[in-house]
Amino acid sequence: MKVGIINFKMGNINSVKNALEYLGCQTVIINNRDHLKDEISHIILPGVGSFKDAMNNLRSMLIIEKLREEVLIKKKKILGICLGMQLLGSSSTEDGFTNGLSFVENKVTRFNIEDMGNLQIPHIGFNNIKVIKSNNKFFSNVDEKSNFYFVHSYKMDVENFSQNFATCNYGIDFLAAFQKDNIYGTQFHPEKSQSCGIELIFNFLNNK
Amino acid sequence: MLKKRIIFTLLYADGYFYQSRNYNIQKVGNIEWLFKNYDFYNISYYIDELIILNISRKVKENLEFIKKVELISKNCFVPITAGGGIRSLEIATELLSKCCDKILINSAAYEKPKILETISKVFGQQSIIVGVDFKKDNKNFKAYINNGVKEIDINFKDYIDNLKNMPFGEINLNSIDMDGTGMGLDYDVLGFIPHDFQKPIILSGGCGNAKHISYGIKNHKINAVSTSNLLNFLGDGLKRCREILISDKIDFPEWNITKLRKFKNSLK
Repeated sequence: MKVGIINFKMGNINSVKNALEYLGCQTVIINNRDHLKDEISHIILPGVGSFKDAMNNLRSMLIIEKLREEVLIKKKKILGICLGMQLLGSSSTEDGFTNGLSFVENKVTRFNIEDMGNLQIPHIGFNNIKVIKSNNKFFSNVDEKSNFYFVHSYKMDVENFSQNFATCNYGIDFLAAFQKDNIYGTQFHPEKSQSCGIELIFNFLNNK
Repeated sequence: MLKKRIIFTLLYADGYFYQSRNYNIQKVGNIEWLFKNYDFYNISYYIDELIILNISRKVKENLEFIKKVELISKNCFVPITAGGGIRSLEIATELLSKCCDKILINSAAYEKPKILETISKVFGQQSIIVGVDFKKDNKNFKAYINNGVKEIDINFKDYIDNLKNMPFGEINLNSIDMDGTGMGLDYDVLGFIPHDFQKPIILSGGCGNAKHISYGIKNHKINAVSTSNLLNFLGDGLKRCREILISDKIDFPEWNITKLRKFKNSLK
């Protein structure tokens, strides 16, 4: 098993690499489209920072078409983490309006201050999630006691999902994680979530 | 619900890890010692966050420090903060792109507060913890910079008030008097925090046992408790802390260490 980590030069990708290596996987850092070879069985799209900058970086890497082919045609498994999950969606209102990769048709918007009461934005820290109608391995063993590390000010809506997704409550319910065919996303950082997160990465890689 | 956190702080300088008491530091061991003798990873599986501070009094060797943070982060699956001597965007970028999720800024937050704006513009406010080292003098509190050596010129309350609106994510209040004494946290300092202070508060200095940590975690003003004491929580000290908190019905993450170990090399 060879896992490709897309490096669009925003944030620390080593923590994802460390988690994969802990599980015993081989990792390849993907810096351009030629690195996205057939031998790569799984793709991880990590990321911290602004949606707009990230899309611009992906565009200048000339990797978007190749990624579309790998994920939508060859059905290679992809996991978007944090900003990486948001990039899988159709658009974000961060810094104006930016189109995403549109692998899923969900929109990203900022937490609305009016929903938050005295809660602080960004939402930072460990929080529990609620799995909705899951029948697959990705969420196996995730229960109300599982906690995951979040750090974000923007969130993805839960529309279009009827099963195999999880919500988190912070002022409102928002999309914490999902699985739709070969496309996976987590708003939280599994690589920073101790046993709970390592198990989820294992589930993503091992889910046949 | 968002959880409170137990943070472990490692003190590093010039190749070694240190135990500190009232900011007088004593060499304990190098990185091999940390892994082999101290069994650091075992400890790290019972924490929610890790801070690693470069407390060298010499010119800080960032390259070596980054290497050490990289090594420690290899099998450590919690958010990691690095700090010590960060005074420029270049060093912050170096750390945040190579080995950590957040940085801790102490002296520079006082000496050149603009740095908070510069760094937060690129990496976001959530990537910065501001550290405040303080001492109590009767009922007066004083803030110190440069490894607790230099007293600042601003009145403590005004300093905290000034910080209130600055662009950073969290504040770490560390008592120099209680540091390393194992006699419990200083809660009086919380009286200086304005009511409309919106940032999470980390309290550190003085945790000597599980009770100290659980009292801190239960305090409604505090979001996280940190200990940098290498010796007080040897072995399963932090494990017991978590058990106490959970048995007290505190909503706290339960990390399953047996499971984590089982996953090692499971996909090889």
